Amino acid sequence: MYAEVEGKKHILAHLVADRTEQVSFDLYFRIDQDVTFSVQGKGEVHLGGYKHSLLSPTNNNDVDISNLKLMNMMMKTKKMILELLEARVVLKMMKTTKMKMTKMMKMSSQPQRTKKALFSVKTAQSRPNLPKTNHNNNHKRANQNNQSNNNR
Amino acid sequence: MFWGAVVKPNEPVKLVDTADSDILRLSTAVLGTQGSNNIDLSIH
Repeated sequence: MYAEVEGKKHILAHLVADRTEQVSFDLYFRIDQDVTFSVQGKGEVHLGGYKHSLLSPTNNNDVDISNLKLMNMMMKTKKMILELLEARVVLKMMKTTKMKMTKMMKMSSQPQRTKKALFSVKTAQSRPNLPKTNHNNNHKRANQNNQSNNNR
Repeated sequence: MFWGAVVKPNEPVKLVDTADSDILRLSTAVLGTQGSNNIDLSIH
Protein backbone atom coordinates (compact mmCIF):
# COMPACT_ATOMS: atom_id res chain seq x y z
CA MET A 1 0.00 0.00 0.00
CA TYR A 2 1.35 3.43 -0.96
CA ALA A 3 0.75 7.04 -0.10
CA GLU A 4 1.73 9.63 -2.67
CA VAL A 5 2.26 12.96 -0.94
CA GLU A 6 2.92 16.00 -3.13
CA GLY A 7 4.32 13.87 -5.94
CA LYS A 8 6.47 11.60 -3.79
CA LYS A 9 5.39 8.01 -3.42
CA HIS A 10 5.92 6.32 -0.04
CA ILE A 11 5.35 2.70 0.93
CA LEU A 12 3.08 2.59 3.96
CA ALA A 13 2.64 -1.14 4.43
CA HIS A 14 3.23 -4.53 2.87
CA LEU A 15 0.08 -6.53 3.44
CA VAL A 16 0.05 -10.26 2.70
CA ALA A 17 -3.03 -12.46 2.74
CA ASP A 18 -3.16 -14.95 5.66
CA ARG A 19 0.03 -13.49 7.10
CA THR A 20 -0.10 -9.73 7.63
CA GLU A 21 -3.61 -8.63 6.99
CA GLN A 22 -3.65 -5.57 9.20
CA VAL A 23 -1.22 -2.85 10.19
CA SER A 24 -1.56 0.08 12.55
CA PHE A 25 -0.44 3.62 11.89
CA ASP A 26 -0.35 6.95 13.56
CA LEU A 27 0.16 9.14 10.52
CA TYR A 28 -1.17 12.63 10.00
CA PHE A 29 -1.93 14.08 6.58
CA ARG A 30 -3.02 17.57 5.75
CA ILE A 31 -5.83 17.76 3.24
CA ASP A 32 -4.03 20.42 1.18
CA GLN A 33 -0.97 18.18 0.82
CA ASP A 34 -2.37 16.42 -2.28
CA VAL A 35 -2.36 12.90 -0.83
CA THR A 36 -3.30 9.82 -2.84
CA PHE A 37 -3.53 6.30 -1.48
CA SER A 38 -2.96 3.40 -3.85
CA VAL A 39 -2.58 -0.36 -3.76
CA GLN A 40 -0.39 -2.69 -5.76
CA GLY A 41 -1.61 -6.27 -6.03
CA LYS A 42 -4.92 -8.09 -6.17
CA GLY A 43 -6.52 -7.29 -2.84
CA GLU A 44 -8.27 -4.16 -1.80
CA VAL A 45 -7.27 -2.31 1.35
CA HIS A 46 -9.61 -0.75 3.86
CA LEU A 47 -8.23 2.33 5.53
CA GLY A 48 -9.48 3.71 8.78
CA GLY A 49 -8.65 6.70 10.91
CA TYR A 50 -9.87 10.01 12.22
CA LYS A 51 -10.47 13.36 10.67
CA HIS A 52 -9.74 16.54 12.51
CA SER A 53 -10.79 20.07 11.91
CA LEU A 54 -8.55 22.93 12.92
CA LEU A 55 -11.54 25.16 13.36
CA SER A 56 -13.11 23.05 16.09
CA PRO A 57 -10.31 21.81 18.34
CA THR A 58 -12.74 21.16 21.18
CA ASN A 59 -14.17 18.21 19.24
CA ASN A 60 -10.79 16.49 19.17
CA ASN A 61 -10.16 15.93 22.84
CA ASP A 62 -8.01 12.86 22.30
CA VAL A 63 -5.44 14.61 20.14
CA ASP A 64 -3.34 17.65 20.90
CA ILE A 65 -3.52 19.47 17.62
CA SER A 66 -1.94 22.71 18.77
CA ASN A 67 1.30 21.81 17.01
CA LEU A 68 -0.57 20.87 13.85
CA LYS A 69 -2.46 24.13 13.98
CA LEU A 70 0.78 26.00 14.41
CA MET A 71 2.35 24.06 11.51
CA ASN A 72 -0.61 24.83 9.29
CA MET A 73 -0.37 28.52 10.14
CA MET A 74 3.36 28.46 9.41
CA MET A 75 2.73 26.85 6.03
CA LYS A 76 0.13 29.45 5.19
CA THR A 77 2.49 32.24 6.28
CA LYS A 78 5.26 30.74 4.14
CA LYS A 79 2.92 30.66 1.14
CA MET A 80 1.96 34.29 1.75
CA ILE A 81 5.62 35.34 1.98
CA LEU A 82 6.41 33.56 -1.26
CA GLU A 83 3.45 35.23 -2.95
CA LEU A 84 4.60 38.61 -1.64
CA LEU A 85 8.12 38.02 -2.93
CA GLU A 86 6.71 37.06 -6.33
CA ALA A 87 4.57 40.19 -6.35
CA ARG A 88 7.63 42.27 -5.46
CA VAL A 89 9.58 40.82 -8.38
CA VAL A 90 6.69 41.46 -10.74
CA LEU A 91 6.40 45.03 -9.44
CA LYS A 92 10.10 45.59 -10.04
CA MET A 93 9.78 44.27 -13.58
CA MET A 94 6.79 46.52 -14.16
CA LYS A 95 8.75 49.53 -12.90
CA THR A 96 11.68 48.85 -15.21
CA THR A 97 9.31 48.35 -18.13
CA LYS A 98 7.60 51.64 -17.28
CA MET A 99 10.94 53.42 -17.16
CA LYS A 100 11.89 51.99 -20.53
CA MET A 101 8.53 52.98 -21.97
CA THR A 102 8.81 56.56 -20.70
CA LYS A 103 12.32 56.76 -22.13
CA MET A 104 11.08 55.53 -25.47
CA MET A 105 8.15 57.94 -25.35
CA LYS A 106 10.54 60.82 -24.69
CA MET A 107 12.68 59.74 -27.57
CA SER A 108 9.69 59.50 -29.88
CA SER A 109 8.32 62.89 -28.74
CA GLN A 110 11.46 64.73 -30.05
CA PRO A 111 12.00 63.04 -33.38
CA GLN A 112 12.50 66.09 -35.63
CA ARG A 113 14.94 67.84 -33.35
CA THR A 114 16.99 64.73 -32.96
CA LYS A 115 16.80 63.94 -36.64
CA LYS A 116 17.85 67.46 -37.52
CA ALA A 117 20.74 67.30 -35.12
CA LEU A 118 21.76 63.94 -36.45
CA PHE A 119 21.42 65.17 -40.02
CA SER A 120 23.60 68.19 -39.32
CA VAL A 121 26.20 66.02 -37.66
CA LYS A 122 26.11 63.59 -40.54
CA THR A 123 26.38 66.29 -43.17
CA ALA A 124 29.20 67.90 -41.29
CA GLN A 125 30.97 64.59 -41.11
CA SER A 126 30.23 63.73 -44.73
CA ARG A 127 31.75 66.96 -46.02
CA PRO A 128 35.06 65.99 -47.47
CA ASN A 129 37.83 68.03 -45.92
CA LEU A 130 40.54 66.06 -47.55
CA PRO A 131 40.11 67.35 -51.12
CA LYS A 132 40.12 70.91 -49.82
CA THR A 133 43.30 70.38 -47.86
CA ASN A 134 44.78 68.34 -50.65
CA HIS A 135 43.88 71.06 -53.02
CA ASN A 136 45.62 73.60 -50.84
CA ASN A 137 48.55 71.32 -50.41
CA ASN A 138 48.73 70.79 -54.14
CA HIS A 139 48.74 74.52 -54.65
CA LYS A 140 51.44 74.91 -52.04
CA ARG A 141 53.48 72.14 -53.60
CA ALA A 142 53.04 73.66 -57.03
CA ASN A 143 54.14 77.03 -55.75
CA GLN A 144 57.14 75.49 -54.06
CA ASN A 145 58.04 73.65 -57.27
CA ASN A 146 57.70 76.83 -59.27
CA GLN A 147 59.87 78.74 -56.82
CA SER A 148 62.51 76.04 -56.86
CA ASN A 149 62.45 76.02 -60.67
CA ASN A 150 62.77 79.78 -60.75
CA ASN A 151 65.66 79.61 -58.33
CA ARG A 152 67.40 77.13 -60.57
CA MET B 1 -14.62 11.74 13.86
CA PHE B 2 -14.06 8.46 12.06
CA TRP B 3 -12.68 8.40 8.55
CA GLY B 4 -12.64 5.41 6.22
CA ALA B 5 -11.78 4.64 2.62
CA VAL B 6 -11.46 1.56 0.46
CA VAL B 7 -8.51 1.49 -1.91
CA LYS B 8 -8.89 -0.97 -4.78
CA PRO B 9 -6.14 -2.09 -7.15
CA ASN B 10 -5.57 0.38 -9.96
CA GLU B 11 -8.04 2.76 -8.34
CA PRO B 12 -6.07 5.29 -6.29
CA VAL B 13 -8.01 7.27 -3.73
CA LYS B 14 -7.43 10.97 -3.27
CA LEU B 15 -7.62 12.19 0.28
CA VAL B 16 -9.46 15.34 -0.74
CA ASP B 17 -12.29 13.26 -2.19
CA THR B 18 -12.81 11.30 1.01
CA ALA B 19 -12.41 13.84 3.79
CA ASP B 20 -13.75 17.33 4.27
CA SER B 21 -11.64 18.24 7.29
CA ASP B 22 -8.21 19.85 7.58
CA ILE B 23 -6.19 16.93 8.94
CA LEU B 24 -6.47 13.19 8.60
CA ARG B 25 -5.01 10.72 11.05
CA LEU B 26 -4.48 7.34 9.43
CA SER B 27 -4.76 4.54 11.97
CA THR B 28 -5.31 1.22 10.27
CA ALA B 29 -4.97 -0.54 6.95
CA VAL B 30 -6.67 -3.88 6.60
CA LEU B 31 -6.36 -6.20 3.67
CA GLY B 32 -9.77 -7.10 2.40
CA THR B 33 -10.81 -9.74 -0.06
CA GLN B 34 -13.81 -9.59 -2.25
CA GLY B 35 -16.54 -11.43 -0.37
CA SER B 36 -14.68 -14.47 0.88
CA ASN B 37 -13.99 -13.52 4.44
CA ASN B 38 -16.04 -10.47 5.16
CA ILE B 39 -16.52 -9.79 8.83
CA ASP B 40 -19.91 -8.79 10.02
CA LEU B 41 -19.52 -5.93 12.42
CA SER B 42 -22.58 -5.54 14.54
CA ILE B 43 -23.47 -4.26 17.95
CA HIS B 44 -25.31 -6.65 20.23
